[in-house]
Amino acid sequence: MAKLKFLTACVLIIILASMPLMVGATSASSLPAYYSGTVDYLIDIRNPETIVSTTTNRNCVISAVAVKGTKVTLYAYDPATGSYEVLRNSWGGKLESYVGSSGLYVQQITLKDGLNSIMVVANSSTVTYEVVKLEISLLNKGYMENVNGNFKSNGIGVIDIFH
Amino acid sequence: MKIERLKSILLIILVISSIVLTANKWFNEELWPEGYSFFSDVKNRLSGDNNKAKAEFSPNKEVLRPAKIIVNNLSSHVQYTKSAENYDEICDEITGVLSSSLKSDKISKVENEEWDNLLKMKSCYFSYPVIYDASYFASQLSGKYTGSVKYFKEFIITEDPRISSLTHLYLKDSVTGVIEKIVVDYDSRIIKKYISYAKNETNEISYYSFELNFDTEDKSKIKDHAIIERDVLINISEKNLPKLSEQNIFKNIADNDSLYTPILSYFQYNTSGIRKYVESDNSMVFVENYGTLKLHSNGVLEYKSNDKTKGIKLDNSSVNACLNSCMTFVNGVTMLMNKNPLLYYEISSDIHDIQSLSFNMTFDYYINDSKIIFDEKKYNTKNAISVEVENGAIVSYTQVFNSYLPYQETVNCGSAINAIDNLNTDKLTSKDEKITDIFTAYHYNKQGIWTPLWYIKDSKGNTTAIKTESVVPSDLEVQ
Repeated sequence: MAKLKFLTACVLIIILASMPLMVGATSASSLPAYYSGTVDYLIDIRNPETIVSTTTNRNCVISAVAVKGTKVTLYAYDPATGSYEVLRNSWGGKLESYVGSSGLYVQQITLKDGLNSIMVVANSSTVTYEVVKLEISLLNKGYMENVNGNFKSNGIGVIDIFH
Repeated sequence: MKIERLKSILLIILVISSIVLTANKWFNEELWPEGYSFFSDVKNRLSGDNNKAKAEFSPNKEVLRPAKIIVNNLSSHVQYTKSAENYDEICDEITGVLSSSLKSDKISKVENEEWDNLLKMKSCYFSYPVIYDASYFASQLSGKYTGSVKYFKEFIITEDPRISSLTHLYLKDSVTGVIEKIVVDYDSRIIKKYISYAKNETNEISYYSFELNFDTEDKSKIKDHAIIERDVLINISEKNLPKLSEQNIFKNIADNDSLYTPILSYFQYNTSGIRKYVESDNSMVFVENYGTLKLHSNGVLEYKSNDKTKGIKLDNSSVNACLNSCMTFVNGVTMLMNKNPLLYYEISSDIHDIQSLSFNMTFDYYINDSKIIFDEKKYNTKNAISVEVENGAIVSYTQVFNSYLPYQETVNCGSAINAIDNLNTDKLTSKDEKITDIFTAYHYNKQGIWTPLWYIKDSKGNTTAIKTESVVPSDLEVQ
């Protein structure tokens, strides 16, 4: 009986230990909001240049340099579930790709109005991964016109400045 | 009396008809052996038919046509080349902006940052295949340039933020890097029009290297990565291009006098009594006193003057006139080709340093906006067209006369980033080697078939072909 308990415990330990392996192999579709990395040397985000940024362009490009062979997956925060959901392309495939020998990574995403919380997960192995969280705010046309109206009395509007 | 009158009328009709029929025989080229007719030649010279290509082609206008136009709208960049639908319309309008800029005295110098910012805003970027001397360029517009830029290859136009009747032109000196801003009295609404055109044609996503911050490694914790020159436009979407099949019209040239006769006439050969012979490889050679014209069986036309003082005379009244005359000659020969309408040629040799009537010029072919790269071993030439001018006369001329048509297969070349991933790792990590250009070009793959490939040019001037091809079904939509 004691032998059976020991064997069951061993199997459970093996299953629990291999869970990160499975996550690493396929990239989870959903990750908790508190998800954080284990290292900080795998990826260097080049665009946006800062963690918090603002744009007027719905198409946003995320560029980075990363260690060769790193798998990069993009997630966006979903307030409804309270977790980060993997971003998908128009064919339903996950926005994940491996960085080649150039060390360069580029991916264009479409922003929704307002705040977009994007999480970039770079995996090199099951236990070695880096997480970068970006806050990108998309200023929509109505918002811009509203601000522009407030400033226009001073001679030049915000839209003119951005232009 | 009445019968006499009838006889006279009949006689007059007979005389007129005999004159008409004789003239018809004299002036119709096809009725003569070897396709040559003295009378027809005279008629053509008088009417200008023989010089139709020359008359339609304007080297002044050709010089003003950029190799590529990039319409920038914030982070969207749409590239137009000579095969694009709106290319000619944009070019015509830009000629107006350039002409007006020569009259402006509102010239100031600006910093590099402003140039980069312009590329990220609403603007149009124009780039020429080679560097031009600013004064030569201005002379094509019948004007005089008074600014400080001596040599240039690229310029940007953008609208004035306050006055719509003003356009700003930014000219970058290719040697010193100095950027000059010229305020031009020209309606800037044309830029909005181009942006509206570009919105309908974006199926490729491209970004400048500086926008992606791939132009430097200074701020990176990761050192081993490729560095791309800041103004290189990187296509991040996958590129699909058709393969091309080659049609060699010189294959059975000896039996095709209707093909070689106009070529002979254009090279000022007397076609009636010319000495000719066929070589063992089916190449046909025409010999005159001072030169030979060889139509190679691989599709290459080669003219060589035996005497450097007796070539084909060009306008040698000035260096600029000679250059223009040479370009007109090249265009005239190209008009004789049975070429794919999508194929166009671009000058590929710098002409800004030409100071005398002796110079060399080269041109390359482009199809689907991709250069055709010739294997020197197979074609005995690296460029589609090569011209050698000595004392205002063409003494050597080579041109590939083959035609290129879409083949039944399409190639998925991948994105530019995929191509860089396949570059030799040593090149990528070397600190003093930057990628200075990345483009697709056609490479001779197997008998008669040309395959598109990515090519990468580095800061040492080396160009490397990158093989990332995978064949996709031919029904895929190809730009």
